[in-house]
Amino acid sequence: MSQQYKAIIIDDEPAARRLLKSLLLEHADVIEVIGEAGNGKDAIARIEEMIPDVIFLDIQMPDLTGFEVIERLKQKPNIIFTTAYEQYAIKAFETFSIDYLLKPIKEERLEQSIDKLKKFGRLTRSVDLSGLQEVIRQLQVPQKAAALPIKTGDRINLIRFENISFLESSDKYVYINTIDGQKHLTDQSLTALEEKLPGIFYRIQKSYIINKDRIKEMHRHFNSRYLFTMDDKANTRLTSGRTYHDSIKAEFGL
Amino acid sequence: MREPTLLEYIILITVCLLTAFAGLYLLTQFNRLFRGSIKNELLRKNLAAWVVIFCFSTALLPMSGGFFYMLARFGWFHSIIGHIASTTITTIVVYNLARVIAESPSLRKLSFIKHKSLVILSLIISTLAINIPFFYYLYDGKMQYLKYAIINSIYLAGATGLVYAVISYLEVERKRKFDAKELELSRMRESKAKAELDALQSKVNPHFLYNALNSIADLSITDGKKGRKMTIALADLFRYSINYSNSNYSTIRDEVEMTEVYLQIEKIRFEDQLNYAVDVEEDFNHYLVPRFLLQPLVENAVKHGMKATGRMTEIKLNIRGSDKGVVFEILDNGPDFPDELNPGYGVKSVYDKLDLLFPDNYEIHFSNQPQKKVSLFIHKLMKDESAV
Repeated sequence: MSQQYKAIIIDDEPAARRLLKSLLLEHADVIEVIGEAGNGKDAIARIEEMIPDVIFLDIQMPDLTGFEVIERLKQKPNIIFTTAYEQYAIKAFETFSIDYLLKPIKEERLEQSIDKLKKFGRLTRSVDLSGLQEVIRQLQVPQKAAALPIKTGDRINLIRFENISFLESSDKYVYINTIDGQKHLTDQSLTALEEKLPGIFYRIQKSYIINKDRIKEMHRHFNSRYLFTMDDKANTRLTSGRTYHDSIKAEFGL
Repeated sequence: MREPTLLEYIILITVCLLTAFAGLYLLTQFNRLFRGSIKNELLRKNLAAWVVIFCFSTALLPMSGGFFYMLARFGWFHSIIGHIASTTITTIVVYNLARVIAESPSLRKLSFIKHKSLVILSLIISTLAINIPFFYYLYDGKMQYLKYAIINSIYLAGATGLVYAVISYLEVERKRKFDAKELELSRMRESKAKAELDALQSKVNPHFLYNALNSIADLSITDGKKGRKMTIALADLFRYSINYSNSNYSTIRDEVEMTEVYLQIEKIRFEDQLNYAVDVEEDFNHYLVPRFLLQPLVENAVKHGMKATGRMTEIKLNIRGSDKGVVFEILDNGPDFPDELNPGYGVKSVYDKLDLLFPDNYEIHFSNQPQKKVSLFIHKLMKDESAV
């Protein structure tokens, strides 16, 4: 007689929990569902309180992702992720042999996971955290930032990177100049902004960062400087700093 | 006539080299000379040409052989006056002739080499035409000095013409490179525009679809009625997203209807954790907006709203007139928008659609006070002409 495993089901959709529970009833000799949770915070509390052997963990939940739930657990049980990710995204799970079930959940696939549990007494050798991190990284690639959030009063404006022509600092403020000629003011420093901006943004002077995709022309200027004409409404002309000469030369392959 | 001393030779050579270099430098800067000070283009170019020609002819003075003769015969003052006078005449005749030839639109159609050869030839001939009579006068018609005049003119005019040709060539080459780059850029922009158009072919978020189907798998056994309702709603939403009409626009009425279908599905999925209210001023029903504009914003609101656990999520969609055109407000009662707001795929696609179809005609505000909401203003609306 094999061991019986205590399980908790974590999913933000009641129907999804119900479905899994009814599917697991067929395997009552191996798995006993002792609890469920509808969000990440509840899940952590339940797991720490009930100490299950295995958890069925939904990845996309509104408050915390499944990954964040695991990060916050002191003791990590066996984990079977449940996810609606596309097939291509799921490759990462296989690469790091992390157990998962695709939604809508198939009974045969669930059986495989349970067989594995029966055979080895556990799933993957504990949770390979670095593998997990890699999975997270791969799944989150499309989530790259595409816009700069700028707070003005109670409002947050999103300025899309591709619409930014250049950033100009003056005194304590930075003006974000868009291609249609608008200026947005922010009190973040140019250096802080530089870190947030993607690689298409390039500093050409102490007080200017430009969008490389929005350069219309660049010319050699006097005194180791370059003159940039931007592809914006006013065809703004900006001069680079002398000390930036070498790095500009290297950057643009001049 | 006394032979110059060694020192005089050295000074002479140095002066000649310096003026030659000055002339070359000024020639490369030709189009920029006197740009700030003289407005009239013809005058400016002539003056620039004068300076260049003066430098070159000064540099070539010893070659003509007539320099020392001139000094001996007329003295310094008159020699310089004479030199300036000949430079002036040369400029007026030679430069302007070359200019006419270089800029004549019909001659510009010739190949690069033919065109530049013609310019050089005209320079040489016109210089000869001026210098031969000048020397003739200078040497009182002694024909044996004429060869100096000829060599000198050919040398001066030919060298100037060659430098001009090289500069033009470099300019043409630079422009060609620039054009090639520009072409590449425009190709890139085109492919970007294509990517943006793809964004218009919006899809229902696949996550949402699979999760909904997973719920249906359960409801088909536990609650057939709900399962059926959800299946039908999902089919409607899917049909709308497939967009058989192939139009990038949709009426506000259709958009609102689909948003409600979407919210119905979410309400079933989250079983009483979600409430919603939709309030649309009827006047706007027949106006057009980009297709699938509202659903991503509402989906975003649902996600935000659900972040606060342990209470009912309330979503509101209001569409009404404002002083800035029509405003679409999407409210949720989740936690505040963070300052470091990072828009997801859905919100990005909304910006894409608006940038493409309503450029400079919209504003989106995310605000936390007095209510947490996303406000989308569309300043000028288009009416759907097909439906009246």
